[in-house]
Amino acid sequence: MKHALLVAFSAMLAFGDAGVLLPTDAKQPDPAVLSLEEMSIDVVIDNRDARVSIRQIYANHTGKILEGNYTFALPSRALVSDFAIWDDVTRIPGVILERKRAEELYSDIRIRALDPGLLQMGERDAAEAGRGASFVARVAPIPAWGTKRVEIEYHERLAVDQLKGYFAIPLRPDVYRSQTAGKLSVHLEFHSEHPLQSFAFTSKAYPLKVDEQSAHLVRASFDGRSVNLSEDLAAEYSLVAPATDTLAVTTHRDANEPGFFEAGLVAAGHAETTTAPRTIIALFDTSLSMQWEKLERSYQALETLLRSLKPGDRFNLLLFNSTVTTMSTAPIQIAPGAIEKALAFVRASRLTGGTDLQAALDIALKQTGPNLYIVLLSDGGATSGIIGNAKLAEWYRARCSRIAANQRPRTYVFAVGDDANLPLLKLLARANGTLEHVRSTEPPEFKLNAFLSKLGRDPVTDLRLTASPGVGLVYPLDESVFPGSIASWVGMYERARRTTFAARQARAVVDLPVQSAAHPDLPRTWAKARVDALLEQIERDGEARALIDEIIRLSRKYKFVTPYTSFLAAPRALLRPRLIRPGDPVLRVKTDPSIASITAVFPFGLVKNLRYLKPEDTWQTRFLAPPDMRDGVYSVRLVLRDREGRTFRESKTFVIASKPPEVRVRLDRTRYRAGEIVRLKVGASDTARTIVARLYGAEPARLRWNARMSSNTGDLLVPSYLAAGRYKITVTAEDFAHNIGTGEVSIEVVP
Amino acid sequence: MQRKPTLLIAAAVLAVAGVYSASAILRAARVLRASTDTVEREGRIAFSAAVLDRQIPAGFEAVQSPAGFQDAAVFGNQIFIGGAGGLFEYSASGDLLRSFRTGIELPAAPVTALATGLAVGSVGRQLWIATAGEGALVYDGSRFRQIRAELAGARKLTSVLPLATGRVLFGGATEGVLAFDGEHLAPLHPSLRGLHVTALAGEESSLWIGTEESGVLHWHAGQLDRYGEPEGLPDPHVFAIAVAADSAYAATVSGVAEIRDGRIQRTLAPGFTVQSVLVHGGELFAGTLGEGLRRTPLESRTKAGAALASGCADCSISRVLIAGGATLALTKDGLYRAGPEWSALLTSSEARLTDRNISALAPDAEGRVWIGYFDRGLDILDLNTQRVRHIEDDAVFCVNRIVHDTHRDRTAVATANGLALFGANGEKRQVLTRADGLIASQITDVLFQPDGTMLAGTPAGVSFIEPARISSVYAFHGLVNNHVYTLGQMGSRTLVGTLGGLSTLESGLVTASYTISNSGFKHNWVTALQPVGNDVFVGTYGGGILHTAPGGAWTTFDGFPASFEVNPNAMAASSRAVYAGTLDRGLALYDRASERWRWITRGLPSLNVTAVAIEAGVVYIGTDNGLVRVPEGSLLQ
Repeated sequence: MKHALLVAFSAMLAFGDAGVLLPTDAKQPDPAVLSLEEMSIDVVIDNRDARVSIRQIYANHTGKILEGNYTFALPSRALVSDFAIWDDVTRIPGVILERKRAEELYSDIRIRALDPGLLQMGERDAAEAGRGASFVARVAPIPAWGTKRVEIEYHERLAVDQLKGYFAIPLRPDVYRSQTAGKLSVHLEFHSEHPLQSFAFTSKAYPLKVDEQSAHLVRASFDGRSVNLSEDLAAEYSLVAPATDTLAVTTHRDANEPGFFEAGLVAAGHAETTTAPRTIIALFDTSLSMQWEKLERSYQALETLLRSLKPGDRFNLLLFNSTVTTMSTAPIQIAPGAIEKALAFVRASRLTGGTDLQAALDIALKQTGPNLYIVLLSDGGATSGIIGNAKLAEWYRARCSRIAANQRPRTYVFAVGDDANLPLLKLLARANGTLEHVRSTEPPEFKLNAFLSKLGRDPVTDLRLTASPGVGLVYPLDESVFPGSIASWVGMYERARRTTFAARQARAVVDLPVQSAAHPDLPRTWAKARVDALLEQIERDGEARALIDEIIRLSRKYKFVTPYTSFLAAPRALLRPRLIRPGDPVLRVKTDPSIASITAVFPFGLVKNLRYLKPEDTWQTRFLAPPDMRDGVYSVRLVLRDREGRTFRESKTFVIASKPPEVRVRLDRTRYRAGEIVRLKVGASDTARTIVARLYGAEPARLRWNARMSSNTGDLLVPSYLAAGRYKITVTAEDFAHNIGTGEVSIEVVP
Repeated sequence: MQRKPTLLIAAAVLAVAGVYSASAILRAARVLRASTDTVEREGRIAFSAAVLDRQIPAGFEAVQSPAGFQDAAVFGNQIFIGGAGGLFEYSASGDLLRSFRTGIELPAAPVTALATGLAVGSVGRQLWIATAGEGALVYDGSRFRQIRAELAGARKLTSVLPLATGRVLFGGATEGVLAFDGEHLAPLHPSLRGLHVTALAGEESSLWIGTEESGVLHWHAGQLDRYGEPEGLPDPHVFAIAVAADSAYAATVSGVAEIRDGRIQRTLAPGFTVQSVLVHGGELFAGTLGEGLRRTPLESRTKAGAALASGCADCSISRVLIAGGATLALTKDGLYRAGPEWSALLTSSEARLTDRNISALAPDAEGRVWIGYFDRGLDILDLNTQRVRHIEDDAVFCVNRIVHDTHRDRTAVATANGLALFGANGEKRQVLTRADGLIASQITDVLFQPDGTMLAGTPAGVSFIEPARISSVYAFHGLVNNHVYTLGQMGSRTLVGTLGGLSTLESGLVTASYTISNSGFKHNWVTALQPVGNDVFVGTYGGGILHTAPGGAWTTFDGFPASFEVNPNAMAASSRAVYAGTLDRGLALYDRASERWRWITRGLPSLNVTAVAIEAGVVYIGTDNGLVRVPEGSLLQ
């Protein structure tokens, strides 16, 4: 580590806002170099499927040909369905290929000195997993004084909870400062089979004009110039509460193809939370795989969970990794001091390699109390005890069944991380519970609130769709449904005929059409559900060639990535950064097997050959950064030579980050009463990625960049029970390389 | 009662200081010429020119490292080879005649380039020597003169080119092309300032300049032509330039560009990383990085490949030259005839150590010194037999720290690829990585606690390695910063030095953190910790050294600079002194008796002291350019 200790590698692509194209050597958007000239957003929401198409045109204001990285922060339920870069008048789309074939092509394109990209699922290390929520592509060349057009389309399945739905396109700046679109046009069309009670845009920066609104349709649009993309484009809506269960069926059929339908049931019933005291057994994963964002999000979820408990509720906390540690022998009464004690219990724990999920669940099942819930906060990566998904889920099911029905706990799972073991967690949540999943980097608030709102409510039971006469394969789209939510099924049919669908008390009679252009995304929705079912089958029974072939066929036909396929983006687009680890003065490069040598040319004159480390299948060298190099982003050039003697060159950026983020906290006053809000203004280095303020007993505040205030701002609520006295507000800022900077300020809470 | 000895010691120190000052004055009197004429005219760089008269400090013994040859030149009838280890004079038949070692006979900066020429005011040809940090040296066959710019950047030279006019050009790593005429040192031209020059060739009327990232520049008739990638240069990084007839040949990362008639004609040795180039006998000889010496006939005017000239297919050739009619290729450790048979004309004397760039030192009680290298693994040097055992593999490669656990006969070697554990006999037993439960595979420091628990500092936090399990904490658990550089133990408290301050742990829990915002800390970046009695010395990267004042507050040392960098874990203490290795000031020595600091610079092969250790009264000082050892008594005299 000598000399070069100040160097931190970081993929600058790591976290992103929606649709930011940055020159490779830039840290923030600079419209003097690359400006967003035009942006158009088309949204079609078909019941719960939202298709978002975004086209962006960037202008290069320099006389240099630029290379850039395009980053798009995807919503967590979103799946990219199309991506294309325009090269002059030619549209170069990405394609879905079988994984092996994609890798061959990738190598081939590299050999031809182009720069392709590869997007795959799985096989990512923790660092890459942390970047998973962002779609990243290298865009080159961006011609001097010219423009570059980029298109992306994704689908997102919208959640409806307590008859309320929420939709957002993440335009709000996160890591990067906000962009200004020279021209922005937005078109939104929302079709709902269930009658809408309300629909409203919550974002103020884009005042969409509602052109048409009825119980089943909303059309809105916006056209503006010089629009600052300072907040998410978001809308909220609510459905009319049905007196009885209601079932709506939509269909689509192309000529010479099978037909598809989706049935949506709005379950009638009380959405209110029970007032009966609850017993919460929280299982908190402290295994090493939870390091970084997953742990932070789990902790946030736990803290929110504990603070949401009501007087009379009881809880216990179990930390688990290779062993299980319980906070107390039995559930304890909720109280402010108990919450702080529980949080301190987590902070005082240590991360350990290995996860014995079975042992944790077993101990949790031994806890008793009225209205019992097991809340699992984990990525689900079991490594000891029973580790097979199907076996562990079956063991859990059998173990639960031994408990008397009236004492049997419900299992609520809050899964975190892009690499979360969703197949297992989904199976565990089937024990009369629910599953919610947040990615490593996505803001968890909305999903967390939805998740917590289900504690104390009973899921809708007896959910089953029947069709008469029978139809083809039908798949449920929702693992669990609560009153006020929509339960959906998607299915296929061959014969066009009048069919009666039924679920619970609801019934719908539909003429399945011979051909229908409506609801064009239904085939894709069905294909995705079918693939999920096949993957679950593989998980349970093992791989079979026929299953894999079908997954590959459906994935290619309907354009979504699976564990068996890859999205090969347009040539010259790089989607997957090479393996570069943060906080490391060591350069590591992963290549395809054809590469025989790599030379790194550093920007301060050092030229070094990399050494191949067979156990890690990685090339590595160590380097000295001169002490007079300032903090910033630099490029290292790699000269790769293959076994045929052909050479290829690539650039990688790295960050010299010798200082943790600086934090300066400002308050407009220092005396507060309990229940008042502390408005924080925090100045932080522009390397800061997250800024969080904490006060004893209060829910932490996450600060965001506020362009109007030229500062990071956020509010902390002084707890109403907080006794008078002096308290410290601690603000921590974290950068890409997980360097932490801290600022403190004292406040006085007065009676 | 305690005052008298203190006063006596102080008096002795003053006396020594007085002698030292007088010696310095005498030395200063021997300066031939000193320019204090600071930049009266724009662009001029103040410099001093003085005869080198370096007295070898008593007690310093260099542990022989590889010579690290970089450049060679024929001067007189001898072959001179310069490199990291210094300057070596060989006879034409390859016998070593004299050595001038870096930091001993020569200033503490590696030799980067050599050239011979007749400069203004000199009576005969001289050998011009560029160094990486100490300016230029001129050798006339009997003595050295040092041309040392006041501006530090102007002392970082990469190339030297004596011109027929008597001027000498220097290529600088930050200051571009500098011209020296015996009286003045100044940029050759404003348009050539601020470049990172890597090579110079040609003459005053047609000067070729290779750069680090800006390709080739051709300065002629007051005009500057640029050759970069858009003009066809295979890569903007240029290592060397050769001029022959009407063409220039620029060696780059991806081959050699032939430049003629104002444009790049073709690329020779395409794909090869060419570090040195020579045109001779109608052929181009390309010395490559790790792929031997390649030759290409020049008569063909088309793109040409490059065949292996002879022998050593995986050698790195830093210089190709003609001497005595033979084509010679210089590698890191020898000069070879590159004829039909590849044969050594000379090789550097037997080196005991594997590399020069030391990153960790740990002498043991068995009379062995464990020496970790920046990227060459580990040597175990047996001082009794003088034998060296070298260990280098995919795990033990980039070494950060070596710590012996004397109670359990084991040694921990912290590396960039895991924590390697060795037994008493030096056999590797185990390598722990993240896969085994460490919070990161890169280990920066190791600490053995009395109960046998081993702590590993990493850029992601601290791991506790116990027989039954490995557990970890990081900023989530209250650590002041994730990036841990150093660990220390003070009684029951574990000290954790990080990029963002210092945390203390008790029973594995963070009990306190110290930063500039909440304590007397002057700098957050803690790189070294050294318990000294009831005190603890804290080395920082940029804020000098702190310690705990009575009452527990953090404070700096009066009269000692507070703005230097202590290298990671480069601190050691004995009952008499505390030592701290710094980035660019040499070794800081704290005399515990006098409670004063002073600097040790002479006798060191580099002022970048990267590791320090003490065993049996001997101080081992590792630098990025070799290892020396010296009896502690000599240092404290």
